[in-house]
Amino acid sequence: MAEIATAQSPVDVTDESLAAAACSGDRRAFDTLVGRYRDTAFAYALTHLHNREEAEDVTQEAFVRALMALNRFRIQASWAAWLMRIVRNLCRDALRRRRVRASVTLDDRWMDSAPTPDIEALFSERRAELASAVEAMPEKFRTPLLMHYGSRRTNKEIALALGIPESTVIGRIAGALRFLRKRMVDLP
Amino acid sequence: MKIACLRCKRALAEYAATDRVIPTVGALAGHLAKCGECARERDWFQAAHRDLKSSLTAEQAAAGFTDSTWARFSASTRPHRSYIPVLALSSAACAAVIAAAILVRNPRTPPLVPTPDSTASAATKPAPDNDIRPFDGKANPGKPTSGVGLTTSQSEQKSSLVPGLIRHHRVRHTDHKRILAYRKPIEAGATLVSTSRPHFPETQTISWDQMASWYEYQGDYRSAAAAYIQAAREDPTDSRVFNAGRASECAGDVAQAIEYYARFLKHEREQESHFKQQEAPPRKGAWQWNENRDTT
Repeated sequence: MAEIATAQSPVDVTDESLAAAACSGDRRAFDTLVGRYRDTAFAYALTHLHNREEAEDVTQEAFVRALMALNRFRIQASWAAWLMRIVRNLCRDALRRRRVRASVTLDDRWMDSAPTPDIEALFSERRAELASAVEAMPEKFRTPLLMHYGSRRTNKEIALALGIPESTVIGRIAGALRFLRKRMVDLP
Repeated sequence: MKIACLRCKRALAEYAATDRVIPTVGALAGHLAKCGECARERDWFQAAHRDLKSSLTAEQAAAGFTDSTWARFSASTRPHRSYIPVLALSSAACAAVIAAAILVRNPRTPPLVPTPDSTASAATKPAPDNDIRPFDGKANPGKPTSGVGLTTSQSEQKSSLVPGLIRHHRVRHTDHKRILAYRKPIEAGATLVSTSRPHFPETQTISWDQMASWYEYQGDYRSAAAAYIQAAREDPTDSRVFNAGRASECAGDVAQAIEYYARFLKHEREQESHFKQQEAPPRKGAWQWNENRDTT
């Protein structure tokens, strides 16, 4: 299995082969596999947990669990979808442990900490309004919006992370934009 | 709001969501050119799209994320030291010690094995009816290996007595209480069940009455009757004869019960007549010893 992972180009190798090779100790396969889904999984965890350290911990734990329990994985299913399901479950567990969701303002984590002066001058007032509108957004709209605009994830990756079809992701992002439009009526 | 405007707003949101450029030709472009409200919506969506892209920036995973994940994964796959063998061995050792302590404290009687000598002797010399012998702690010269044997040649049930240590539920707090253990014979076809030498040679002498009482207590009325009969043969007191009849009756041997009851009654009548003879005045003309005869 390790030969399969290393002989071919990493793009050609399936996730399942890479996972099996990583389980047998192939570091290259492990790096390739983590590199494929690290950002998506981390973006989802950060969107939900609003805490960088906790999001990293959850993402790492999800990778370890998905690789450790590879023998329970069904071949017909997608390993990436399985990994994302583990991420979602871990995030839910973390939120349940926390009970009360951390009230981190959007400015602290999602807004650009060092914008250019002209943008700062132009949008300073509107950024605050945008942040409050995103905060007030329902969860099903906010997660794909933040993953799309904040983490720069594609709709396909968001669909994988959320476990929903890509068309649903597009619809939710569009719904999030319409929600923002209703809230920010003063925009030109 | 017109339906065309609703469709236009939906399309504008979807163009923004998919990062596509709004086309300049086609039905949508024609509607935007005519409808000023939808044109303002288009400007708003383009501005919001630009604002969101420029202002929303998410933190990325740390640079050493992959290395730390690999270290975590390696630590998880490292074989842990299992304590199960140690626990199993210690549990087995404890169980063995407890079992040894129980065995030392409460030794079992040796198994009942019919010896060929005793079987042969029984075959050549048939035992009399209800021939049982109490064990007195001394070696029997005729049968050196036998301890106590009980043979009921006419009865179907064979049983044996084994003097030794058994625990009784009433005397469980009394250690080393020596009582007779009743055992079923091992081989169903054996005519004589002989036991080995008693486990404790210092076993005290047991009388037939005690043995019969023990049998009766155990519910073995046939053996109890045999023991009472043997006791009555040695010393035919009234109580022994009566007990022999009673035990035979309980065992279901009616003929034997009647026989011993008859003996008991007969003996009683004899005793009564004897007492009457002693108490009755001498008949007239009967010869009597008179010490003063010579003098008279």
